[in-house]
Amino acid sequence: MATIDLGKLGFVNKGTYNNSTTYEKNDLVQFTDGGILSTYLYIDSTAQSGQAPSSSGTAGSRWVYFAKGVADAVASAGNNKVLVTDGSGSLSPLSIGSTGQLLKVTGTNTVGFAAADPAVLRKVHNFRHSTRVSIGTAPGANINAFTFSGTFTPVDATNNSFYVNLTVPTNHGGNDFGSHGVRFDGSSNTYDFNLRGVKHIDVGGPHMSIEGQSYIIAAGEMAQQSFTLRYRYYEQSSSPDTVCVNTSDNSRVGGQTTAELIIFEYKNA
Amino acid sequence: MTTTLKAMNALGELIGFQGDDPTTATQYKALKPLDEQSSVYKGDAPTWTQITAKIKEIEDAEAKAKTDKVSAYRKVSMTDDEIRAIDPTLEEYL
Repeated sequence: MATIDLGKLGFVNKGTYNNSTTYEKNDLVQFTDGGILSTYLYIDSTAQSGQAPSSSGTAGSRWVYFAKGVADAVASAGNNKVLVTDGSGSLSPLSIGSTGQLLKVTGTNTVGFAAADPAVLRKVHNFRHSTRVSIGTAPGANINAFTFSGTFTPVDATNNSFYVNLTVPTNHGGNDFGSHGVRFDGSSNTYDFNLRGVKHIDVGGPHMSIEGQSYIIAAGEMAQQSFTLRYRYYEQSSSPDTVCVNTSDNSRVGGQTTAELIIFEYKNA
Repeated sequence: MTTTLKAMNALGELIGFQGDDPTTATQYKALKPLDEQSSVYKGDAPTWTQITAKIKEIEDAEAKAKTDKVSAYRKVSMTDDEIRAIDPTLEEYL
């Protein structure tokens, strides 16, 4: 009885293309061309081997694309990249910058990693004291009037500078002088800045008055550590009668006043 | 300076303290020294009785000074309005 070859009645998946294998019509293979994996259908009626499915993105004469793959831009981006798209919508891998750099808009529709702005406020540290303190007429030099609540821990005392703004409400008796300041009493070092930016008003008592300071501590002037902040008088008889005055001093004060110490930590240009 | 502080300063070597002026013996004994100080006074501290006596002495002296002022103004025939204009704090002594 005669046998009639009807050929393949359906597609046959032959797996990954092998150059030595003979393929015939309706065979399917998977083949990677230019990094893109696609599935190809053999269409030639003559079975052959050694006929690559495609080259440089163009299917060979004996094959057609059955399922054409696309380039995996995410996978091909490589390691340590940030993916953005360009003006054509194509992914454009951007290498992560160096330590401390920020992702910034560097031009119209472009981004890149660049150094942080040179002058930036890093942190505002705020400390208070709200208990009245009376200071006698014979305390001697180097007296701590009070300690501010909280501990001062700079973000980075080596590289950041500090603007110190201090205000202390006082009741002076007259003939006092401004040898006051904040002692930065650190876990390893002690720093005094009593001669800088002194603000002092002694109108003669009994009148409400102020003491304070405004000054800069340059980067590296203090070593990095935690500090207890003490309000201090450095010379004998330089102190007012009371600080952080309240209605004990005069009913018109209206309540307990507060000493404020604000430290602006910043990175200079 | 409050009268209490004047009295406390007058009776010894007052270093200082935290909080309001004491008004009783109990508050006086409980006064909190300044930071890093072990006592309110250098050396011996006066008693609360001594302090209250001193307060009265100061108040009496201040009152006498004002009475003397009014007396002096009257000797030069000032009117009450004129005395008030010179020193309003003498109101209660007119």
